Amino acid sequence: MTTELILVDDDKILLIVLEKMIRTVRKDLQISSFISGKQALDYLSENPGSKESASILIDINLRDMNAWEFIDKLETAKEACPKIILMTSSVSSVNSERAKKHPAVTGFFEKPITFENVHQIFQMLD
Amino acid sequence: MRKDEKPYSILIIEDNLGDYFLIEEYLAENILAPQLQRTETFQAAKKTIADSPAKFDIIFLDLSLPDLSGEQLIVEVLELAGGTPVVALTGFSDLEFSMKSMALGVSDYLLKDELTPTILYKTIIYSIQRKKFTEQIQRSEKRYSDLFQLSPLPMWVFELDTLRFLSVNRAAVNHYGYSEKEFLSMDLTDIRPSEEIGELKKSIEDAKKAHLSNLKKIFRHRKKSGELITVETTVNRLNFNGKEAVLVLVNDVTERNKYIETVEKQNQTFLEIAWIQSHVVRAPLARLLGLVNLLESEMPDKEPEINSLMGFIKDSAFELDEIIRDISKKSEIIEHLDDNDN
Repeated sequence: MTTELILVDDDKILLIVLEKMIRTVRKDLQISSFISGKQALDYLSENPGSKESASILIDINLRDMNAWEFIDKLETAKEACPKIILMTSSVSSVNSERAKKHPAVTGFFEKPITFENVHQIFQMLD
Repeated sequence: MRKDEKPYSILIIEDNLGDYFLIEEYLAENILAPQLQRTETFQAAKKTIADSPAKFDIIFLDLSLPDLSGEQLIVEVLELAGGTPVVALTGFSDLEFSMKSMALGVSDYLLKDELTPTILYKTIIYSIQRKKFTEQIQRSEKRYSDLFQLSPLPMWVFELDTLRFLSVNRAAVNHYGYSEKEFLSMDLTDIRPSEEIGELKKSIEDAKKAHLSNLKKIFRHRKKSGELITVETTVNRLNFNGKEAVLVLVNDVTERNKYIETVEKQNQTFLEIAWIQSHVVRAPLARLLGLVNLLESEMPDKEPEINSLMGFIKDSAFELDEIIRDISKKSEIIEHLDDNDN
């Protein structure tokens, strides 16, 4: 059972919406939200415990890096890697194809994330 | 011996009746039924040729007629003959001139004193046959000349050593603005922008070494007006009047290139717009859809009116979403087309 979920999205409003929705489904889950890839990476390196137990829900196109770069940095810096779920507001098929093939990616969702999606995410993570 | 059965139509311009009879007799030895006509003067010959419904196969011409003789006679008769071979009949005293007459265009000359049936017959066969060959060659030369001159694309021949223009066609004159005379006083460097002269010299050196045939290259040329054009040239080595030369066919691709460039630019811009649609425009839309989803769950017991208004917002957002997806799909098809091209 996932105890901590790390949200990374540079869209602040979506971050708030997402937090509220997740909170509705899992009241006791620890949620850490970040608006850049760097902030999230910093947090993970400062909290080794989170790195081992947390799962990550990350937007593909962040302002400072994309999710692929984020994964690269995470993998080179760590041996035990958290589960990663990608989300994007883009409707291009390129990202979904790549996500399906990437071994470090557990799931891929197109925004908006619905309540149905939130349930699916927890099925993947638990 | 079997006689030649072809009905040769022969005009004999000879004022001396004795000489004429001799020729008639000799002809009869080898030809079954020659169609002979005789005139005694140049004027009469002129009329006979003009009145004759068909061309003569051959004309025998005595070089001294009562009303005309010598070079002038030859020139005038040749003109009247219009391609029919003319054989000069002459005596020993005119031998030197007879030889000169060959240069004027007569097919052969016969010394009356040495005439035999065999020589006469041979001359007829030989002159007629040679005329045919000459005409064939002339036709073929004209065909090539027409191909060159009437080509809608500019063409020219330049000398490999000096780069001078040796021949240019009408399309080249029309396209570049130089007259034929101007072209023939110029060389290749005069139509190339100065910064490309080095490259030109180098490609000429390469051309001298290699056997080039149908080689296509892109160059820039300068018209007389100064306008620069982009051309695709096709070159072939040839021998032109004894000179090592190159035949060049020019295709002005300036407009075509401009057009392709414009299309490529438009395509690029279009792909950028498509990218903005599927990535940038969709982001706030996704946010809007997320907010609507959340609002619905946060306010489970809404008034019916609010409920239907929420439905309208949602419907509108989904409609916009469909449009963006549609555009995105179409742009992906175009990107795939591009990939296949490359």
